[in-house]
Amino acid sequence: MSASRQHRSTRGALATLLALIGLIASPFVHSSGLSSPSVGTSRSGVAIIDAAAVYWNPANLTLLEGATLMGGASLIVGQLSYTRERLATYQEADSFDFALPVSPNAIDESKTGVAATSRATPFGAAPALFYATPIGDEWALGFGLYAPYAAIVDFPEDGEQRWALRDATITVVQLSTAVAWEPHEQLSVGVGGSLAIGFAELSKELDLAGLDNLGAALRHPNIDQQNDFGADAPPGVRELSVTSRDFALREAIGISGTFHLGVSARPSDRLMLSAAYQHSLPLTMRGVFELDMNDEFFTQDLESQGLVYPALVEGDASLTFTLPSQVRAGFSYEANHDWTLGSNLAAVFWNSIDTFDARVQSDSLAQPTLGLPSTESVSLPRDWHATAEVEFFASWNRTEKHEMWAVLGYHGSAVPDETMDASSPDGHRVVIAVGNRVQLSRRLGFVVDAEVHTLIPRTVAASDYDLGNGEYRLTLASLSFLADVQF
Amino acid sequence: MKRFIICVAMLLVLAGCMEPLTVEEAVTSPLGVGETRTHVLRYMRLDVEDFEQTLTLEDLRELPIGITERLWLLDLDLVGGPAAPRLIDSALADIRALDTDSLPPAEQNMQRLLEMTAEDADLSGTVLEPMSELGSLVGLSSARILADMVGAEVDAPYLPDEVVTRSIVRNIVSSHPAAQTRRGPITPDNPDGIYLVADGAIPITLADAISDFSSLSVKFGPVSDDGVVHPGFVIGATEAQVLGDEFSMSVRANANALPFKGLDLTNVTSGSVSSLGGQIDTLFDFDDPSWLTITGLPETPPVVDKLTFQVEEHDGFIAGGRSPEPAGQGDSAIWQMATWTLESLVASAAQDAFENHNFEARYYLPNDTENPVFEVQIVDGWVEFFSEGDVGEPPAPAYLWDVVLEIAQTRLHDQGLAEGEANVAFTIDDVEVGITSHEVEATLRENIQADPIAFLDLAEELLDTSSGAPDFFYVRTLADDPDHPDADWLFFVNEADIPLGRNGEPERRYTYEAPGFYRDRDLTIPASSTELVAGDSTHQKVELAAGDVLYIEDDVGAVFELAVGDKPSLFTISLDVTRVR
Repeated sequence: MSASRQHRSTRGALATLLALIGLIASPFVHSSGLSSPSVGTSRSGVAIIDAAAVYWNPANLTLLEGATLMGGASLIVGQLSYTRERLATYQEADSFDFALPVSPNAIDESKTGVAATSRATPFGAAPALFYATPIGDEWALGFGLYAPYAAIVDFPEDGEQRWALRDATITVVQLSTAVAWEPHEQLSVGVGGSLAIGFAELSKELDLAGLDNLGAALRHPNIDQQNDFGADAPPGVRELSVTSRDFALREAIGISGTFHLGVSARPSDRLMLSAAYQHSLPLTMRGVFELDMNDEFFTQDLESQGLVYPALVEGDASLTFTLPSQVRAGFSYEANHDWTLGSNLAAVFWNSIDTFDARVQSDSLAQPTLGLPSTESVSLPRDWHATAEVEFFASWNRTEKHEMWAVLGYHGSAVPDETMDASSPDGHRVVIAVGNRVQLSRRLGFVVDAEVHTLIPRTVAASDYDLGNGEYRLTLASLSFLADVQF
Repeated sequence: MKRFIICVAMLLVLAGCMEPLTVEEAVTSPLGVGETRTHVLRYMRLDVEDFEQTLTLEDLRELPIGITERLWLLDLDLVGGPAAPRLIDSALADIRALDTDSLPPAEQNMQRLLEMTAEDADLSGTVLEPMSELGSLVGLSSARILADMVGAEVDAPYLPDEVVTRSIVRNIVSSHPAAQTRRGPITPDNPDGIYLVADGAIPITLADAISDFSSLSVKFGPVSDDGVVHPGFVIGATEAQVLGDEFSMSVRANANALPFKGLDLTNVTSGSVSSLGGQIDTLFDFDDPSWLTITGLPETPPVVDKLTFQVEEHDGFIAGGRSPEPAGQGDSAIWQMATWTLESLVASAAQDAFENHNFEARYYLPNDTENPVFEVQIVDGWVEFFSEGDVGEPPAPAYLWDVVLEIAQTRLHDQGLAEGEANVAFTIDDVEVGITSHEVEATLRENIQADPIAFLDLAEELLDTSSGAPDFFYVRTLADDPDHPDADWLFFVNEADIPLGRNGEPERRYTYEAPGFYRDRDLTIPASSTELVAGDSTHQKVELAAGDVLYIEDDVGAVFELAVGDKPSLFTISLDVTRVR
């Protein structure tokens, strides 16, 4: 059996399509796991005055001393490991008992327990370019181009995580503009708007056993077999070689917009109190998908019953999710000439994300005899939690031209054990960063910044359907190089 | 625009695009001598219960004719009687009642035959021709005397419908090869599975029923095969209402619905062999009435709208016999002729009517009751005339059926038809088949149950899973197999594994000269046998172990080496296939 790109026009396939949607929908969105560690410098935040305020808090743009350009990039590298521990009972991968109980002869006892560790080294480069300029005495305007979310992950092809994710390239680039107004010398407010361009590609092994459509097809009167396939499929009928199909979502892009608000108050010369609200960002990524159905079970064995797919199903796919709204607050306090202390607090409303909604369309998916349409939609439960983030920083002016800082923080976990898997590695995150800024000339400064986010090793034992049980470790490091120019 | 956006986004994050997913192209070129390819075969079961498949009338009509012909439904009784008329009886009764002028010539001939009376008998040229002169002496017409002889009124038909019916069935219908035997279960007592058809009946198959009997004109049409010649007896378009337009037949099967996976050695490509053959004993749960559901049968009994029978006339006059020997038959040439001629039909019918007929009468001159002029004596159909004095030569003795034979031939030609042109025909028109729809269903159910193998082809059509042209296939016996637990087997295909084409014939010929597996490349040391494995004792098969080397010849005479590799997984095997010649 063969298929190639020329099949693309035939469009692709099926109930699996649902699965594929499910897979698409899985968590590549940035739960904290795959998000970019920082925008701007590691110190940038709601109560920091720099050009990155276009993103963090536009109110602060009025506090810049003149027109400022800040640009550079963050190189992000990480180490992600997942040691799967199956707690359920599985059948042999090349068996095909489609309903429990599985025949004792078909049970693969070796599958239960700890599996080999899958490792990935996320890598990415997040650019940043900000420009801000005062307009008159009270107003300021800013622009920004940056990538708040960026990650490239490449897990082993046959790793035990493959039903969640194999490879992913995910980035969201935002183009923002902001305007700030200083109605009073101790008060600034700002508002910004952003155009977000999301891009995603990912591949995984799509477990059709977890799709409602495969179960429905087998239950159709033409086949009439009660089965346990579907979104609630027990582990005993999952991860079979027949129903585990290679899937790829490619060239998915989405464009959307959002806004943010900020306010800063300076009750004294040394203290600044700030708060900002970032509105949620709905994003629908549209691209193409490919699904490898090159198994005779799908391509010919049940053709007389109406189940037949091409070897390669191709079509259009979309994934809709919403990046959450968040409220940030913080302060900076200039303790003396040399030291500045501050904090950033955030409440991120990940709890608004209950599902990822995916949709695939391909004429090849349609199985009219079995009542399966060419378009399917699926919602992948996420049930994430709202998180809190807290960071403290201390900045030291070592000399007139050299400033150093350190950041220590904690970010809460958004992903509950039930929906945790390798595509959305998440947990309690410790943040440590150090940075330097050197004033190279009167107008030019240069920042070298290092930041590390590391998860406290997380062991999951309550994953739905045993899909994500095991231990997760994640460390992300970014090294940023930024220059700022004041005009 | 989309491309541009992607490029910008990718540039910004220094990432590259993911390659499109493709599937591997299978190598399908023929395997050259010395060339080796590795192939993994999988054994997968989809054990389904109450796997229901429904065939509508349209579905059935699209099946290969050989499959539906294989399914015998019933022997349709053509002969009833006055109390329970069936097809031919009804047809003959109808044809009597019709206006002669409304009938085509052949039907007119049939009506004339049925309506033969003493009154309209033309004795000239027959053995009874002298009787006219005798009759005139005694003041009686020859018709009167003939009526006395046959025991009927002068104007009443002397061949009863029932004897004509029996003769039609015996001489015309039962002499046709397709009406003599039918296929049925192959049993130890009947290893050929060929059964005699009940007397007076024709076998009806599912093919006949789904075609509303239109198949009958072919099935019971002209035959010339292996020295057997029959002109057939059904002509023209046959129309009937048997199953109804809403008819559907649903079966529930318990089976592994997936085929066995095998290899076509020619190009080492995979193929599928239906697995149903080995499951025939368990395929249907006959204890569950729902194993077969038939719906859509018409409420009213099946009706034959039009079915035309024809009997051909011999192209010459056949004289009746003149000898009492052989006893009960006579020496007419008719008895050496094929039974399916009209003349034979008439002679046979008359013999049936009069073979036990006895009669004795003396005929006197007017006013003379003492001295008969002549005497007629019939003993078991043998007719003798005795005359007294010089009253003329009496008719020669003959059997009454010889007499009727000659009278009938004369009668059929009395309007100028040439010999050989007086074929007779009768049409069954709007006559109930004589069985109810429920009887059709019950018979269908019983016959399939008695002969499930006949249903196998149909089941395989329903669960059509075969593909390609594999030479062998892989079977794995499960852990609970009492004799061969957890074992891997290769089965060599047999003729039954080759699916049927639309014409009911196998899709390819079975041309294997050395079926089976061998230990040597000269194919002299068998490695396989037909031992009972997984319920199968019809295939050559061999158990596999890693490291085994087998040799096999394919359907075009090429020989291959099969080297069994390590098992990739529990339900798969790996074979290195090398063509050795």
